[in-house]
Amino acid sequence: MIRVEEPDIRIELATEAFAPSGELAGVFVIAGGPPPDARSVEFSVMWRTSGKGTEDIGVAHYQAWKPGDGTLASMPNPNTFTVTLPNTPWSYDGTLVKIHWLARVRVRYGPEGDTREVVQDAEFALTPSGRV
Amino acid sequence: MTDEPLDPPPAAAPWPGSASCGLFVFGFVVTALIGMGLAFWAAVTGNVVLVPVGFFAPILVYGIGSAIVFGPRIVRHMREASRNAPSPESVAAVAHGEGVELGTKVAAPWEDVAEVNPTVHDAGTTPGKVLAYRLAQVGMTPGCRFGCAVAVAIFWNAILSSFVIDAFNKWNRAGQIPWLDMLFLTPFVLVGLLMIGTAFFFGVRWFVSTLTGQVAVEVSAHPMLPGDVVRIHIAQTGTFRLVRVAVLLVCTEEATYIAGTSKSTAKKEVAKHPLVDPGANPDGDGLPLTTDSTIPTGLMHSFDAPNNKIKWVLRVTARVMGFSFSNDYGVTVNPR
Repeated sequence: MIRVEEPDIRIELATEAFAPSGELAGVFVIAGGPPPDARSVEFSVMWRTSGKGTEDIGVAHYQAWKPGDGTLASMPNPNTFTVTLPNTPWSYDGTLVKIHWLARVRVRYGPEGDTREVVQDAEFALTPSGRV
Repeated sequence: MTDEPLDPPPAAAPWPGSASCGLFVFGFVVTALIGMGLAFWAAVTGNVVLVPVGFFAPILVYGIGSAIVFGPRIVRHMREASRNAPSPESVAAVAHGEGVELGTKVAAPWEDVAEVNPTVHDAGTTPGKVLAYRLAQVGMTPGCRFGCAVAVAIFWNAILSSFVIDAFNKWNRAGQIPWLDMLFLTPFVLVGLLMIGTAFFFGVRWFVSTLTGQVAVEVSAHPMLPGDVVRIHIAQTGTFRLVRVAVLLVCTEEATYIAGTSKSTAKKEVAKHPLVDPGANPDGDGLPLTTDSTIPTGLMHSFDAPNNKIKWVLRVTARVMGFSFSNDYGVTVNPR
């Protein structure tokens, strides 16, 4: 079986902190393009909780490219994005509950029966002051 | 943006197959029969020690052999299934009801003005008599707490009493103290006494609440916004007057997690902001009380997710006939 190298994904955000209802701007690039046997490339802007409780997530933006419908071939790489952020939830660093915001790229690739996956996150803060 | 529906989730990797499962079960039955035969043979020939060996050895060998043959296939199947399952992000995006389109942007859920802050916990209010909003009391009522504490204390101590009586009977019969029994029972007796003390404490709280009657809290604005001035009105129906009335804005984090087979929720108070200080009130420190308070700036907004919550309450504390009084009323703190 030919081993395909793990895709190298990089996400760059315009800044580390964004105001509620602001515009998240950034770019993600898959070095050398998506793998030839890519199953899907997913880009999402989301919040997730961490801490003592079971993880909750919420997705503010979701976009997927797949080879089956021809969208993967037309996916721009590098992919510049701007996403309007919601007003809440704000980033929060509590004792039992923490809320993180992140931009995530998930690439699934590999032959049938040997699906592989690479996930790359870029964290940012959603704060009213616009500071981390 | 098109209105095409989201693609159905990709099929999971093929399962090792029903034929393999059937083969496994058939092999297990045959092995079990062999084991039973060997055990029977050992018993008939008088080798009693070999009976359990004969019974379990074939099944053990079969289990190890099956794990070697099927184990990697099952692990590979599970891994493949998890990787072929829809990603958590796509599931969450679909659950938003906005539709997810391949290769195109999804409409932001908050563009629907109906849900501007979908994760902000709504405490719920009813129309007030003096001010616009009457807050709902949260938590168990003092009567419920007292009843629960009494029930638990009775249950524990009733069971414990049979052991304690038994120990005393032994003492009477033998004429000497059964030290081992006493040592074993001591921690359980201490827990029982603690439960009685807790029930007594909640009984006093319940008694105090009956003296004070219903304490109603109303506010001029709800949800509350950090930095805003909010008028607070507190009144009571009981005859025994609350004094030294203080109001605190209290933030509690709640995290629900799975421990074993059950769900547990951990709670922790993480912030307390005094809104009404009994010493600083020129109109006295009793009820009825109407005062303007500024909601502190920089507060985290209320947050409500299935397993993680950030809740705010107005806590009214006071004294009545020398006893302490405390009630919590749920509020929503909106983001500013």
